[in-house]
Amino acid sequence: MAATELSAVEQQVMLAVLRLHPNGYGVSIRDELELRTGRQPSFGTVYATLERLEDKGLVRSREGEPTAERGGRRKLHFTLTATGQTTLRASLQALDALRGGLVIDGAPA
Amino acid sequence: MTDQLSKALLEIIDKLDRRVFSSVDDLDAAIEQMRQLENQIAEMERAIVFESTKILNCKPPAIAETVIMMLAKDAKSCAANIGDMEEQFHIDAARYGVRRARRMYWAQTLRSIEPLAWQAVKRLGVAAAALAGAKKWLGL
Repeated sequence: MAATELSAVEQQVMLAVLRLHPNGYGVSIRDELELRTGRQPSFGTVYATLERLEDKGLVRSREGEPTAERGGRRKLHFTLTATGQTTLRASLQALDALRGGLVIDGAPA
Repeated sequence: MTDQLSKALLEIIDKLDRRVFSSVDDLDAAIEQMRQLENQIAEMERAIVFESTKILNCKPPAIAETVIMMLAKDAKSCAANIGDMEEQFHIDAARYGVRRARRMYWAQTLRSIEPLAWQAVKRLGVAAAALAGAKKWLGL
């Protein structure tokens, strides 16, 4: 059942990485999360989540070019691995199965 | 240059509106082209923001950077995290001014401590995480 063991934050970060494929990095992932969810996580939350996902083999990172606006530091671009995509799909399907047919406050869940 | 890109983008959007594509592949190509143009415009906007901020010659708070450095997983992750925060700092400085950008940077650092510290503890254990942080703080 490892496929469905993703927290809500992990799901959101993985979806943002998928949307920004293949150039998602800290700033753009955080912006995407704010745009889509209305909440802005800290960079610490984003990086801690990405570290967990990378340790699980669900995302991989590659270094970009250093830029002056970043004080000469390199970006880390994140992409989902094949396992990551399978796990995310299974996790979202499980959520959809739980939601299906439910009504919350008069509207479909 | 931004105007030219915006014009090209608007032309594609107009074509999408009028549905003048001969095939699905044609439509896919237009959507892909639109994405690329959007990325180019975003990059150019970032460059403009950076140029305007460079005049201010401002730097984020060094102590806050050190706090993040103490909690980062490794050098690569540390550079990326601090680099992202510096990039955001320059954007905020251009939008709201340097003083507010520095306050926002500190707020961002304080909000980042808990998740990064928790991740460090899970990675190393409490004692080892504290020791690793202290070593980084002392530059050892």
